[in-house]
Amino acid sequence: MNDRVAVVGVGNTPFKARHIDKTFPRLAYESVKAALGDAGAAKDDIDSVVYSIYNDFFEHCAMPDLHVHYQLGMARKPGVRITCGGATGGYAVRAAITEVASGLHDVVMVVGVEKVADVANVFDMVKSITFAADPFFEAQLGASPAGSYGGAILWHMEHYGTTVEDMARVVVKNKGNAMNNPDAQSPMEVTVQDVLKSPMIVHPLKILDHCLSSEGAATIILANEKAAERFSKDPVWITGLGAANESARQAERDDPGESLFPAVRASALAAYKMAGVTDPPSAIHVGEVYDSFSGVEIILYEEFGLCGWGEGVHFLRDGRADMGGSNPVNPSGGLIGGEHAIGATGVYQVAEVVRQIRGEAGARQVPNVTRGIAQSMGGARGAYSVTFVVEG
Amino acid sequence: MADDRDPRFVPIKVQDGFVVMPDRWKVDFWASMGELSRFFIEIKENARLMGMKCPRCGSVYFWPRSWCHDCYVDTKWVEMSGKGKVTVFGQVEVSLNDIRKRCRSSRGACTWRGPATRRLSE
Repeated sequence: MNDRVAVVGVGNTPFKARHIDKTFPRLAYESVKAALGDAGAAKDDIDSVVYSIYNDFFEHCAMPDLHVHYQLGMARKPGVRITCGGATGGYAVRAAITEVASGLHDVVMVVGVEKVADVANVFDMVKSITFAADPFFEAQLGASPAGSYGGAILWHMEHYGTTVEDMARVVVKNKGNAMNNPDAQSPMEVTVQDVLKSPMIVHPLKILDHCLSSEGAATIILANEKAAERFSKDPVWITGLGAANESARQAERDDPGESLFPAVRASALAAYKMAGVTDPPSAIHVGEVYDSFSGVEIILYEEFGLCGWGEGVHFLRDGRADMGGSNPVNPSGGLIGGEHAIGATGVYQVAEVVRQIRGEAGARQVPNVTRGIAQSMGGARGAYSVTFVVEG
Repeated sequence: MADDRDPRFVPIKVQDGFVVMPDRWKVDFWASMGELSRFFIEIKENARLMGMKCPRCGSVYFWPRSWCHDCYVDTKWVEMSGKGKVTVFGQVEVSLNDIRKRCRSSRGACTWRGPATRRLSE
Protein backbone atom coordinates (compact mmCIF):
# COMPACT_ATOMS: atom_id res chain seq x y z
CA MET A 1 0.00 0.00 0.00
CA ASN A 2 1.32 3.47 -0.90
CA ASP A 3 -0.06 5.09 2.21
CA ARG A 4 -0.82 3.64 5.65
CA VAL A 5 -4.54 3.26 6.33
CA ALA A 6 -6.02 3.91 9.76
CA VAL A 7 -9.42 3.17 11.21
CA VAL A 8 -10.41 6.37 13.01
CA GLY A 9 -14.07 5.74 13.81
CA VAL A 10 -16.45 2.80 14.30
CA GLY A 11 -20.17 2.59 14.96
CA ASN A 12 -23.10 0.24 14.65
CA THR A 13 -26.75 -0.19 15.52
CA PRO A 14 -27.90 -3.02 17.76
CA PHE A 15 -28.57 -6.11 15.64
CA LYS A 16 -32.01 -7.71 15.71
CA ALA A 17 -34.09 -10.21 13.77
CA ARG A 18 -36.38 -7.29 12.95
CA HIS A 19 -36.07 -3.51 13.22
CA ILE A 20 -39.69 -2.98 12.20
CA ASP A 21 -39.46 0.64 13.41
CA LYS A 22 -36.58 1.58 11.09
CA THR A 23 -35.95 1.69 7.33
CA PHE A 24 -32.55 0.75 5.90
CA PRO A 25 -31.51 4.39 5.34
CA ARG A 26 -32.38 5.10 9.00
CA LEU A 27 -30.30 2.14 10.21
CA ALA A 28 -27.41 3.33 8.02
CA TYR A 29 -27.73 6.86 9.41
CA GLU A 30 -27.67 5.66 13.02
CA SER A 31 -24.47 3.68 12.46
CA VAL A 32 -22.88 6.62 10.61
CA LYS A 33 -23.80 9.02 13.40
CA ALA A 34 -22.27 6.61 15.94
CA ALA A 35 -19.05 6.28 13.90
CA LEU A 36 -18.73 10.06 13.41
CA GLY A 37 -19.24 10.51 17.15
CA ASP A 38 -16.62 7.86 17.87
CA ALA A 39 -14.11 9.62 15.59
CA GLY A 40 -14.93 13.11 16.83
CA ALA A 41 -15.73 13.88 13.19
CA ALA A 42 -18.41 15.78 11.33
CA LYS A 43 -20.05 14.48 8.16
CA ASP A 44 -18.20 17.14 6.17
CA ASP A 45 -14.93 15.38 7.07
CA ILE A 46 -15.96 12.46 4.84
CA ASP A 47 -14.57 12.64 1.30
CA SER A 48 -16.10 9.48 -0.16
CA VAL A 49 -18.38 6.61 0.83
CA VAL A 50 -18.37 2.89 0.02
CA TYR A 51 -21.67 1.11 0.63
CA SER A 52 -21.63 -2.49 1.75
CA ILE A 53 -25.09 -3.79 0.87
CA TYR A 54 -25.41 -7.39 -0.25
CA ASN A 55 -28.72 -8.35 -1.76
CA ASP A 56 -31.21 -6.14 -3.60
CA PHE A 57 -34.04 -8.32 -2.32
CA PHE A 58 -33.26 -7.57 1.33
CA GLU A 59 -33.53 -3.82 0.76
CA HIS A 60 -36.50 -4.28 -1.60
CA CYS A 61 -34.62 -1.98 -3.97
CA ALA A 62 -32.27 -2.59 -6.88
CA MET A 63 -29.98 0.35 -6.06
CA PRO A 64 -30.26 0.80 -2.30
CA ASP A 65 -27.06 2.85 -2.02
CA LEU A 66 -28.70 5.61 -4.09
CA HIS A 67 -31.25 6.14 -1.37
CA VAL A 68 -28.76 6.23 1.47
CA HIS A 69 -26.08 8.51 0.01
CA TYR A 70 -28.20 11.62 -0.40
CA GLN A 71 -30.01 11.07 2.88
CA LEU A 72 -26.64 10.96 4.67
CA GLY A 73 -25.96 14.46 3.37
CA MET A 74 -23.30 13.18 0.97
CA ALA A 75 -24.71 14.80 -2.17
CA ARG A 76 -22.04 15.83 -4.69
CA LYS A 77 -19.50 13.44 -3.14
CA PRO A 78 -18.55 10.04 -4.58
CA GLY A 79 -20.41 6.96 -3.40
CA VAL A 80 -20.23 3.41 -4.68
CA ARG A 81 -21.78 0.13 -3.65
CA ILE A 82 -19.98 -3.18 -3.32
CA THR A 83 -21.88 -6.46 -3.34
CA CYS A 84 -20.04 -9.78 -3.07
CA GLY A 85 -22.29 -12.16 -1.16
CA GLY A 86 -21.01 -12.88 2.33
CA ALA A 87 -17.73 -11.15 1.47
CA THR A 88 -19.58 -7.90 0.74
CA GLY A 89 -18.29 -6.25 3.92
CA GLY A 90 -14.73 -7.41 3.37
CA TYR A 91 -14.65 -6.28 -0.23
CA ALA A 92 -16.30 -2.94 0.67
CA VAL A 93 -13.63 -2.24 3.28
CA ARG A 94 -11.01 -3.29 0.72
CA ALA A 95 -12.46 -0.82 -1.82
CA ALA A 96 -12.30 1.97 0.77
CA ILE A 97 -8.71 1.01 1.62
CA THR A 98 -7.75 1.35 -2.03
CA GLU A 99 -9.26 4.84 -2.14
CA VAL A 100 -7.20 5.90 0.88
CA ALA A 101 -3.96 3.98 0.18
CA SER A 102 -3.82 5.24 -3.40
CA GLY A 103 -4.01 8.84 -2.23
CA LEU A 104 -7.32 9.39 -4.03
CA HIS A 105 -9.11 10.47 -0.84
CA ASP A 106 -8.02 11.34 2.71
CA VAL A 107 -11.08 10.11 4.64
CA VAL A 108 -13.39 7.37 3.38
CA MET A 109 -16.38 5.86 5.14
CA VAL A 110 -17.70 2.31 4.73
CA VAL A 111 -21.41 1.93 5.48
CA GLY A 112 -22.78 -1.61 5.75
CA VAL A 113 -26.50 -2.14 6.13
CA GLU A 114 -29.03 -4.92 5.62
CA LYS A 115 -32.78 -5.17 6.19
CA VAL A 116 -33.23 -8.86 5.64
CA ALA A 117 -36.66 -9.39 7.17
CA ASP A 118 -38.39 -7.08 4.70
CA VAL A 119 -38.56 -10.29 2.67
CA ALA A 120 -41.86 -11.81 3.70
CA ASN A 121 -40.56 -15.10 5.06
CA VAL A 122 -37.39 -17.08 5.63
CA PHE A 123 -38.00 -19.30 2.60
CA ASP A 124 -38.13 -16.37 0.17
CA MET A 125 -35.13 -14.87 1.99
CA VAL A 126 -33.05 -18.01 1.47
CA LYS A 127 -34.37 -18.31 -2.09
CA SER A 128 -33.06 -14.82 -2.85
CA ILE A 129 -29.61 -15.98 -1.68
CA THR A 130 -29.76 -19.05 -3.93
CA PHE A 131 -30.24 -16.71 -6.91
CA ALA A 132 -26.45 -16.40 -6.74
CA ALA A 133 -25.93 -20.08 -7.61
CA ASP A 134 -24.48 -21.08 -10.97
CA PRO A 135 -27.38 -20.37 -13.38
CA PHE A 136 -26.38 -22.93 -16.02
CA PHE A 137 -26.29 -26.16 -14.05
CA GLU A 138 -26.50 -25.86 -10.28
CA ALA A 139 -29.33 -23.42 -9.55
CA GLN A 140 -31.76 -25.83 -11.21
CA LEU A 141 -30.54 -28.59 -8.90
CA GLY A 142 -31.28 -26.62 -5.74
CA ALA A 143 -27.74 -25.53 -4.87
CA SER A 144 -27.62 -23.59 -1.60
CA PRO A 145 -24.86 -22.08 0.55
CA ALA A 146 -25.71 -24.35 3.49
CA GLY A 147 -25.32 -27.41 1.27
CA SER A 148 -21.87 -26.31 0.08
CA TYR A 149 -20.59 -25.70 3.60
CA GLY A 150 -22.25 -28.87 4.89
CA GLY A 151 -20.22 -30.88 2.37
CA ALA A 152 -16.95 -29.36 3.58
CA ILE A 153 -17.85 -30.17 7.18
CA LEU A 154 -18.73 -33.78 6.31
CA TRP A 155 -15.32 -34.12 4.64
CA HIS A 156 -13.66 -32.75 7.77
CA MET A 157 -15.61 -35.20 9.95
CA GLU A 158 -14.62 -38.15 7.82
CA HIS A 159 -10.91 -37.27 7.69
CA TYR A 160 -10.22 -35.71 11.07
CA GLY A 161 -12.83 -37.12 13.44
CA THR A 162 -14.72 -33.88 13.97
CA THR A 163 -18.13 -34.68 15.44
CA VAL A 164 -21.54 -33.04 15.63
CA GLU A 165 -20.79 -32.49 19.34
CA ASP A 166 -17.73 -30.43 18.32
CA MET A 167 -19.89 -28.37 16.01
CA ALA A 168 -22.30 -27.82 18.87
CA ARG A 169 -19.42 -26.61 21.07
CA VAL A 170 -18.84 -23.75 18.61
CA VAL A 171 -22.51 -22.77 18.98
CA VAL A 172 -22.29 -22.93 22.80
CA LYS A 173 -19.15 -20.73 22.66
CA ASN A 174 -20.44 -18.13 20.20
CA LYS A 175 -23.94 -17.73 21.62
CA GLY A 176 -22.30 -17.59 25.07
CA ASN A 177 -19.84 -14.91 23.90
CA ALA A 178 -22.81 -12.94 22.59
CA MET A 179 -24.05 -12.62 26.18
CA ASN A 180 -21.16 -10.17 26.68
CA ASN A 181 -22.17 -8.10 23.66
CA PRO A 182 -25.07 -5.68 24.21
CA ASP A 183 -25.54 -5.27 20.43
CA ALA A 184 -25.80 -9.02 19.76
CA GLN A 185 -28.95 -10.57 18.36
CA SER A 186 -28.76 -14.01 19.92
CA PRO A 187 -27.11 -14.08 23.36
CA MET A 188 -28.04 -17.48 24.72
CA GLU A 189 -27.00 -20.07 27.22
CA VAL A 190 -27.32 -23.27 25.22
CA THR A 191 -25.91 -26.75 25.78
CA VAL A 192 -24.44 -29.22 23.34
CA GLN A 193 -27.61 -31.28 23.80
CA ASP A 194 -29.82 -28.29 22.90
CA VAL A 195 -27.94 -27.91 19.61
CA LEU A 196 -28.06 -31.62 18.81
CA LYS A 197 -31.80 -31.73 19.47
CA SER A 198 -32.60 -28.72 17.25
CA PRO A 199 -34.21 -29.50 13.86
CA MET A 200 -31.99 -30.74 11.02
CA ILE A 201 -31.88 -28.34 8.05
CA VAL A 202 -29.10 -29.55 5.73
CA HIS A 203 -27.11 -32.54 6.93
CA PRO A 204 -25.13 -32.23 9.21
CA LEU A 205 -26.32 -28.71 10.06
CA LYS A 206 -29.10 -28.24 12.61
CA ILE A 207 -30.93 -24.95 12.89
CA LEU A 208 -28.72 -23.86 15.80
CA ASP A 209 -25.58 -24.59 13.75
CA HIS A 210 -26.65 -21.86 11.32
CA CYS A 211 -25.68 -18.21 11.29
CA LEU A 212 -28.31 -15.64 12.22
CA SER A 213 -30.29 -13.54 9.82
CA SER A 214 -30.13 -9.98 11.12
CA GLU A 215 -31.16 -6.41 10.49
CA GLY A 216 -28.74 -3.65 11.37
CA ALA A 217 -25.90 -1.45 10.18
CA ALA A 218 -22.20 -0.88 10.84
CA THR A 219 -19.90 1.93 9.75
CA ILE A 220 -16.16 2.44 9.90
CA ILE A 221 -14.19 5.54 8.92
CA LEU A 222 -10.76 5.14 7.29
CA ALA A 223 -8.10 7.83 6.93
CA ASN A 224 -4.54 8.18 5.73
CA GLU A 225 -1.77 8.81 8.24
CA LYS A 226 -1.86 12.59 8.00
CA ALA A 227 -5.65 12.90 8.08
CA ALA A 228 -5.87 10.44 10.99
CA GLU A 229 -4.33 13.11 13.24
CA ARG A 230 -7.49 15.20 12.90
CA PHE A 231 -9.63 12.70 14.79
CA SER A 232 -10.05 12.20 18.49
CA LYS A 233 -8.86 8.65 19.11
CA ASP A 234 -5.55 6.93 18.51
CA PRO A 235 -5.63 5.40 15.03
CA VAL A 236 -5.79 1.63 14.64
CA TRP A 237 -3.99 0.48 11.50
CA ILE A 238 -4.99 -1.95 8.79
CA THR A 239 -1.58 -3.49 8.16
CA GLY A 240 -2.59 -6.54 6.15
CA LEU A 241 -5.17 -7.10 3.45
CA GLY A 242 -5.73 -10.20 1.37
CA ALA A 243 -8.54 -11.12 -0.98
CA ALA A 244 -9.04 -14.21 -3.12
CA ASN A 245 -11.79 -15.86 -5.13
CA GLU A 246 -12.48 -19.46 -6.16
CA SER A 247 -14.92 -21.16 -8.49
CA ALA A 248 -18.40 -20.59 -7.12
CA ARG A 249 -19.66 -23.81 -8.66
CA GLN A 250 -19.98 -26.50 -6.05
CA ALA A 251 -19.12 -29.31 -8.45
CA GLU A 252 -16.27 -27.55 -10.20
CA ARG A 253 -13.38 -26.94 -7.86
CA ASP A 254 -9.72 -27.76 -8.21
CA ASP A 255 -8.86 -27.29 -4.56
CA PRO A 256 -5.11 -27.59 -4.12
CA GLY A 257 -3.63 -29.40 -1.13
CA GLU A 258 -5.47 -29.79 2.13
CA SER A 259 -7.33 -26.51 2.30
CA LEU A 260 -11.12 -26.85 2.27
CA PHE A 261 -11.53 -23.10 1.72
CA PRO A 262 -8.59 -22.24 -0.60
CA ALA A 263 -9.80 -18.66 -1.11
CA VAL A 264 -9.76 -18.14 2.65
CA ARG A 265 -6.29 -19.62 2.90
CA ALA A 266 -5.00 -17.45 0.05
CA SER A 267 -6.57 -14.29 1.51
CA ALA A 268 -5.11 -15.04 4.96
CA LEU A 269 -1.61 -15.75 3.63
CA ALA A 270 -1.66 -12.54 1.55
CA ALA A 271 -2.79 -10.50 4.56
CA TYR A 272 -0.15 -12.11 6.79
CA LYS A 273 2.56 -11.43 4.20
CA MET A 274 1.62 -7.77 3.94
CA ALA A 275 1.53 -7.40 7.73
CA GLY A 276 4.70 -9.42 8.29
CA VAL A 277 2.89 -12.08 10.34
CA THR A 278 4.95 -15.29 10.30
CA ASP A 279 3.61 -17.18 13.33
CA PRO A 280 -0.17 -16.72 13.49
CA PRO A 281 -0.77 -18.53 16.83
CA SER A 282 1.47 -16.03 18.64
CA ALA A 283 0.80 -13.00 16.44
CA ILE A 284 -3.01 -13.10 16.18
CA HIS A 285 -4.52 -12.21 19.54
CA VAL A 286 -8.15 -12.19 18.50
CA GLY A 287 -10.23 -13.03 15.43
CA GLU A 288 -13.64 -11.97 14.20
CA VAL A 289 -14.23 -14.50 11.44
CA TYR A 290 -17.01 -15.86 9.28
CA ASP A 291 -18.69 -18.63 11.28
CA SER A 292 -21.51 -18.99 8.75
CA PHE A 293 -22.04 -22.47 10.16
CA SER A 294 -20.65 -23.97 13.35
CA GLY A 295 -18.37 -26.54 11.69
CA VAL A 296 -17.00 -23.84 9.38
CA GLU A 297 -15.32 -22.10 12.30
CA ILE A 298 -13.43 -25.31 13.15
CA ILE A 299 -12.09 -25.45 9.59
CA LEU A 300 -11.21 -21.73 9.67
CA TYR A 301 -8.80 -22.24 12.63
CA GLU A 302 -6.75 -24.35 10.22
CA GLU A 303 -7.09 -22.05 7.22
CA PHE A 304 -5.78 -19.12 9.31
CA GLY A 305 -2.82 -21.20 10.48
CA LEU A 306 -3.84 -20.96 14.13
CA CYS A 307 -3.22 -24.73 14.13
CA GLY A 308 -2.18 -27.40 11.63
CA TRP A 309 -4.37 -29.26 9.13
CA GLY A 310 -6.79 -31.54 10.92
CA GLU A 311 -6.03 -29.96 14.29
CA GLY A 312 -8.95 -27.51 14.30
CA VAL A 313 -11.08 -29.81 16.38
CA HIS A 314 -8.35 -30.09 19.04
CA PHE A 315 -7.84 -26.32 18.96
CA LEU A 316 -11.54 -26.06 19.83
CA ARG A 317 -11.65 -28.88 22.41
CA ASP A 318 -8.58 -27.46 24.19
CA GLY A 319 -10.44 -24.18 24.65
CA ARG A 320 -7.91 -22.17 22.66
CA ALA A 321 -10.68 -20.33 20.76
CA ASP A 322 -12.60 -19.58 23.97
CA MET A 323 -12.56 -16.32 25.88
CA GLY A 324 -9.49 -16.83 28.07
CA GLY A 325 -7.93 -19.15 25.48
CA SER A 326 -4.74 -18.48 23.51
CA ASN A 327 -6.54 -17.07 20.44
CA PRO A 328 -10.15 -16.14 21.22
CA VAL A 329 -12.30 -16.39 18.10
CA ASN A 330 -15.49 -14.36 17.74
CA PRO A 331 -15.73 -12.65 21.15
CA SER A 332 -18.65 -10.66 19.70
CA GLY A 333 -20.60 -13.87 19.21
CA GLY A 334 -19.74 -14.01 15.51
CA LEU A 335 -22.41 -14.78 12.94
CA ILE A 336 -23.98 -17.48 15.11
CA GLY A 337 -24.44 -15.45 18.30
CA GLY A 338 -23.78 -11.83 17.39
CA GLU A 339 -25.28 -10.84 14.08
CA HIS A 340 -25.37 -11.56 10.39
CA ALA A 341 -26.79 -8.50 8.68
CA ILE A 342 -24.82 -9.60 5.64
CA GLY A 343 -23.59 -6.29 4.20
CA ALA A 344 -22.91 -5.00 7.71
CA THR A 345 -21.07 -8.14 8.88
CA GLY A 346 -17.64 -7.64 7.32
CA VAL A 347 -17.66 -3.99 8.42
CA TYR A 348 -18.78 -4.87 11.95
CA GLN A 349 -16.00 -7.47 12.24
CA VAL A 350 -13.37 -4.78 11.61
CA ALA A 351 -15.12 -2.46 14.08
CA GLU A 352 -15.05 -5.20 16.73
CA VAL A 353 -11.31 -5.90 16.27
CA VAL A 354 -10.68 -2.14 16.48
CA ARG A 355 -12.59 -2.04 19.79
CA GLN A 356 -10.55 -4.97 21.08
CA ILE A 357 -7.29 -3.17 20.21
CA ARG A 358 -8.50 0.06 21.79
CA GLY A 359 -9.54 -1.81 24.94
CA GLU A 360 -13.15 -0.67 24.45
CA ALA A 361 -14.82 -4.07 24.09
CA GLY A 362 -16.41 -4.05 27.54
CA ALA A 363 -17.36 -7.46 28.91
CA ARG A 364 -16.12 -9.19 25.76
CA GLN A 365 -12.66 -7.57 25.99
CA VAL A 366 -9.73 -9.92 25.39
CA PRO A 367 -6.71 -8.81 27.45
CA ASN A 368 -3.63 -7.27 25.81
CA VAL A 369 -4.77 -7.26 22.19
CA THR A 370 -2.44 -5.44 19.83
CA ARG A 371 -3.20 -7.42 16.67
CA GLY A 372 -6.26 -9.22 15.32
CA ILE A 373 -7.84 -10.50 12.14
CA ALA A 374 -11.23 -9.87 10.57
CA GLN A 375 -12.43 -12.11 7.75
CA SER A 376 -15.57 -12.51 5.70
CA MET A 377 -16.42 -14.84 2.83
CA GLY A 378 -19.18 -15.48 0.33
CA GLY A 379 -20.37 -17.74 -2.46
CA ALA A 380 -20.50 -21.50 -2.31
CA ARG A 381 -17.99 -22.93 0.19
CA GLY A 382 -16.08 -19.70 0.75
CA ALA A 383 -15.63 -18.87 -2.92
CA TYR A 384 -14.84 -15.24 -2.05
CA SER A 385 -12.77 -14.29 0.97
CA VAL A 386 -11.24 -11.12 2.36
CA THR A 387 -8.92 -11.08 5.39
CA PHE A 388 -7.61 -8.05 7.27
CA VAL A 389 -4.83 -7.80 9.82
CA VAL A 390 -5.61 -4.94 12.18
CA GLU A 391 -3.00 -3.54 14.61
CA GLY A 392 -2.78 -0.95 17.35
CA MET B 1 -41.93 -13.09 -19.12
CA ALA B 2 -44.02 -12.47 -22.14
CA ASP B 3 -46.78 -14.68 -20.80
CA ASP B 4 -48.32 -15.44 -17.43
CA ARG B 5 -47.72 -19.19 -17.32
CA ASP B 6 -45.79 -20.50 -14.35
CA PRO B 7 -42.29 -21.11 -15.75
CA ARG B 8 -41.80 -24.10 -13.47
CA PHE B 9 -44.24 -26.04 -15.62
CA VAL B 10 -43.03 -24.77 -18.98
CA PRO B 11 -40.63 -27.11 -20.80
CA ILE B 12 -37.35 -25.70 -22.04
CA LYS B 13 -37.38 -24.52 -25.63
CA VAL B 14 -34.95 -24.90 -28.48
CA GLN B 15 -34.85 -21.70 -30.47
CA ASP B 16 -32.66 -21.45 -33.57
CA GLY B 17 -30.74 -24.45 -32.25
CA PHE B 18 -30.13 -22.93 -28.81
CA VAL B 19 -31.74 -23.87 -25.51
CA VAL B 20 -33.69 -21.12 -23.75
CA MET B 21 -34.58 -21.91 -20.16
CA PRO B 22 -37.79 -20.55 -18.60
CA ASP B 23 -37.50 -19.11 -15.12
CA ARG B 24 -39.05 -16.54 -12.85
CA TRP B 25 -37.69 -14.91 -9.71
CA LYS B 26 -40.57 -14.35 -7.33
CA VAL B 27 -40.00 -12.99 -3.85
CA ASP B 28 -42.72 -11.77 -1.51
CA PHE B 29 -42.21 -8.80 0.81
CA TRP B 30 -43.58 -7.21 3.91
CA ALA B 31 -41.30 -4.20 3.61
CA SER B 32 -41.40 -2.07 6.75
CA MET B 33 -41.97 1.65 6.30
CA GLY B 34 -40.37 1.96 9.73
CA GLU B 35 -40.04 5.48 11.09
CA LEU B 36 -41.95 6.76 8.04
CA SER B 37 -45.11 4.83 8.96
CA ARG B 38 -46.93 7.85 10.36
CA PHE B 39 -46.87 9.49 6.91
CA PHE B 40 -49.12 6.73 5.55
CA ILE B 41 -51.25 6.39 8.69
CA GLU B 42 -52.03 10.13 8.76
CA ILE B 43 -53.17 10.06 5.13
CA LYS B 44 -55.37 7.03 5.71
CA GLU B 45 -56.90 7.99 9.04
CA ASN B 46 -56.84 11.81 9.10
CA ALA B 47 -56.33 12.86 5.48
CA ARG B 48 -53.33 14.88 6.65
CA LEU B 49 -50.14 15.32 4.63
CA MET B 50 -47.12 15.21 6.92
CA GLY B 51 -43.52 16.34 6.52
CA MET B 52 -40.69 16.43 9.03
CA LYS B 53 -38.88 19.50 10.31
CA CYS B 54 -35.37 19.92 11.67
CA PRO B 55 -35.49 21.55 15.10
CA ARG B 56 -32.06 23.06 14.54
CA CYS B 57 -32.01 24.56 11.03
CA GLY B 58 -35.75 24.62 10.34
CA SER B 59 -35.55 22.68 7.06
CA VAL B 60 -38.75 20.83 6.28
CA TYR B 61 -38.32 17.49 4.57
CA PHE B 62 -41.00 16.28 2.21
CA TRP B 63 -40.88 13.36 1.55
CA PRO B 64 -40.54 13.07 5.31
CA ARG B 65 -37.10 12.18 6.71
CA SER B 66 -36.54 11.31 10.35
CA TRP B 67 -33.18 13.11 10.55
CA CYS B 68 -31.71 16.27 9.07
CA HIS B 69 -28.91 15.45 6.65
CA ASP B 70 -27.19 18.75 7.38
CA CYS B 71 -27.47 18.88 11.19
CA TYR B 72 -27.49 15.12 11.93
CA VAL B 73 -30.27 15.47 14.50
CA ASP B 74 -33.72 13.89 14.56
CA THR B 75 -36.55 15.81 12.89
CA LYS B 76 -40.12 16.26 14.12
CA TRP B 77 -43.42 15.66 12.32
CA VAL B 78 -45.20 18.72 10.94
CA GLU B 79 -48.42 18.94 8.95
CA MET B 80 -47.96 20.28 5.43
CA SER B 81 -50.40 22.85 4.14
CA GLY B 82 -51.63 20.52 1.42
CA LYS B 83 -50.93 23.16 -1.21
CA GLY B 84 -48.03 23.14 -3.61
CA LYS B 85 -47.01 24.39 -7.00
CA VAL B 86 -46.50 22.05 -9.93
CA THR B 87 -43.33 23.28 -11.55
CA VAL B 88 -43.16 20.77 -14.36
CA PHE B 89 -45.01 17.62 -15.31
CA GLY B 90 -44.82 14.85 -17.82
CA GLN B 91 -47.28 12.19 -18.90
CA VAL B 92 -46.18 8.57 -19.08
CA GLU B 93 -47.65 7.04 -22.23
CA VAL B 94 -46.19 3.55 -21.93
CA SER B 95 -46.14 1.90 -18.56
CA LEU B 96 -44.52 -1.17 -17.12
CA ASN B 97 -46.69 -4.23 -16.65
CA ASP B 98 -47.10 -3.92 -12.90
CA ILE B 99 -47.99 -0.25 -13.02
CA ARG B 100 -50.43 -0.78 -15.84
CA LYS B 101 -52.19 -3.56 -13.96
CA ARG B 102 -52.58 -1.40 -10.89
CA CYS B 103 -53.81 1.57 -12.87
CA ARG B 104 -56.35 -0.29 -14.99
CA SER B 105 -58.93 -0.20 -12.25
CA SER B 106 -58.84 3.58 -11.93
CA ARG B 107 -57.73 5.15 -15.16
CA GLY B 108 -56.28 4.40 -18.54
CA ALA B 109 -52.90 6.02 -18.20
CA CYS B 110 -50.64 7.06 -15.36
CA THR B 111 -49.94 10.71 -14.90
CA TRP B 112 -47.04 11.49 -12.65
CA ARG B 113 -46.52 15.05 -11.64
CA GLY B 114 -43.08 16.13 -10.69
CA PRO B 115 -40.35 16.47 -9.88
CA ALA B 116 -41.61 17.00 -6.36
CA THR B 117 -39.90 19.66 -4.32
CA ARG B 118 -37.86 17.71 -1.78
CA ARG B 119 -37.03 20.42 0.70
CA LEU B 120 -39.18 23.42 1.39
CA SER B 121 -38.38 26.41 3.46
CA GLU B 122 -41.36 27.39 5.56
